[in-house]
Amino acid sequence: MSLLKYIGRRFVSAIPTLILITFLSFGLLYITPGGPVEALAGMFGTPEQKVRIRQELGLDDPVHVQYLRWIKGVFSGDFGEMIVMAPGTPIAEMLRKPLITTFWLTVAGALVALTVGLTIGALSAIKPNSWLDSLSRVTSIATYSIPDFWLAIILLFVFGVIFRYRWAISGKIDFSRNVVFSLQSLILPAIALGLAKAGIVARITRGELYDVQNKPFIQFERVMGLPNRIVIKDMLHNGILPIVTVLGYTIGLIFRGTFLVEVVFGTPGIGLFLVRAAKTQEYALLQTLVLVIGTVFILMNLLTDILYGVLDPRVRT
Amino acid sequence: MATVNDAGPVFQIENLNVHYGAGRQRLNAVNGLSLTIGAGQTVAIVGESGSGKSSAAMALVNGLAANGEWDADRIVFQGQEISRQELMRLRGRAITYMMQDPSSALNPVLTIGEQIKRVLKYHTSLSSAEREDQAIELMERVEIPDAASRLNAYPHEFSGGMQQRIVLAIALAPSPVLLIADEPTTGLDVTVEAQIYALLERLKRELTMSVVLVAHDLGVVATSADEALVLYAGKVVESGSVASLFRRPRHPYTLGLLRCAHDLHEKNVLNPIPGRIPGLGERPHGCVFHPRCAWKTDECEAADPELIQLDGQSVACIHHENL
Repeated sequence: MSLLKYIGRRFVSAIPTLILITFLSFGLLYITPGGPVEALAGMFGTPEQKVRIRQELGLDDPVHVQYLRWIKGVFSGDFGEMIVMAPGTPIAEMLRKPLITTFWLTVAGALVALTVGLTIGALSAIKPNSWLDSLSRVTSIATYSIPDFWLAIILLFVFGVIFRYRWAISGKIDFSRNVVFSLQSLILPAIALGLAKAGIVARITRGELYDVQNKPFIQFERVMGLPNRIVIKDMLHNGILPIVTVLGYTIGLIFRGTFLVEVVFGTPGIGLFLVRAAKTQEYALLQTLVLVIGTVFILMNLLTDILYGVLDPRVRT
Repeated sequence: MATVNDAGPVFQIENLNVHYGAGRQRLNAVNGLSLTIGAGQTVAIVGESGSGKSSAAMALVNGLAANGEWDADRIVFQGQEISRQELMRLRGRAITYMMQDPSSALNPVLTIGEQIKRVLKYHTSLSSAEREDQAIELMERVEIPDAASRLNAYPHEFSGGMQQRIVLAIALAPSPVLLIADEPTTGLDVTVEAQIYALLERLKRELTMSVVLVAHDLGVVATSADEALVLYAGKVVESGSVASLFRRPRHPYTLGLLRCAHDLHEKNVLNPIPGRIPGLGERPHGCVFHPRCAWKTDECEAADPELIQLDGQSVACIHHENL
């Protein structure tokens, strides 16, 4: 009961932030130099042409009317149309494939970060001060300090330029069409994205799992003669709590990391798209991307909060 | 509950040693402690922080930290000599342990009902429905109001005193013959402390259970223990019935402890024993207490005194007659 109430409350508290994000993405149109009219009319557009464009785009209406029109479109899945790159194409259609690509990149990066991070962290906690623990301590600091796009460049240089491996090539990710090529496209970006974050996950996992072994309630369970598997289960449950807190944040960071990593590998995700949209002043596209990215971050935080509430009764109250 | 053998003691351990590995070093926390406890008796292990009393208590339930080890010459349970492995099998069943600090002794992510019921699940043959009833009964026994409805509450929803009652309920769940209570009121108010000890005393009598009470508070020892072992720097310096120990302490350390308590009570002044307890790696040669002792002579530095049997108590001091 109280869990449902908690989840409901988390959802409600996310709404104001979401509204703020719609303001921000809508406002982009006004706070950036140029504007869609300049972009459309080009350098040599006449004043008459510009007036006509303004009218067509409805830019002369009051701001709140424009906002409401836009937000109404957003709720019905209409994010506007492309005006420069592919005039007339609905944004929603343009974004579908890049979003799928970025989604898979984020998932693959998170998988690398979590499997590597959790495994090394757990192994280091089981044998503290072993060579693995020391190695992971050093490398985690190193990977934590290395930006993912730099790692991407190095990986591409080593495997693509020096060794010339075919699988170093990254491209469109579409599991409904070409599974092998999609998987191959994920390899290097996922390593670049994941490894850069695996270090922090490993250190937190190591610290928490190590500490929890000496918690009095674990000691109590042991001296009360509860079976080992029960004690280990409780250790994992309690040790995982602080790790969950960094999970959502880490996945958010990986999602953000995909933008630059996509640019390095030329993977056609929304990062690469974002750069092109900014260059060509494709405003409706930029607005939509900011809205999507903001929403993804809010949803990640919401998910973390909910997961935490499921695992820890103390945060529910 | 298992039948109590009236003839012999319920539990006996001889020459218990506890040591911790620290790098290449081996540090002794408890040296040659022997303890005998009869049915329904309370034996207190008294000492300052760092005296090794908690290590001794933890060794009895095999709950030492990963770098801790213990050995003993002889373990007797209900008249039968048992091995270490057999002692291990008794823990959580016939011998249970009550944790020190109630605020950290309960698993924060499980309801208290779950925590009581699973001890019953692994240590009794009760059915699921019987465990439910038994859990409520245990909570009523430790005087938790509204027991049935609070079964699904989490530890953080209880006060410190209530949490310690829950810890006690868990420790009592397998109907133990011997309960080891390690300073069971750490971090609790004085009034709550008194309630917990009263409850422990009542339950001990009702369940004819023996108790090993680890304590540093002599007032608590005087009211609830039958016998006491005074531990200093890992060694028993004096032991005996609480009545004779308090009436006539024979060891300078016991005397010092009593004076601390007595003077604070009577004259409102604190009369501490000078110096501090030596750390694990810095135990002095000879009598462990000599650096802080007013009766110290050269002989005290030369040899570690043996426990001398006197009527009603034993003392490890060569100057006990001069006290």
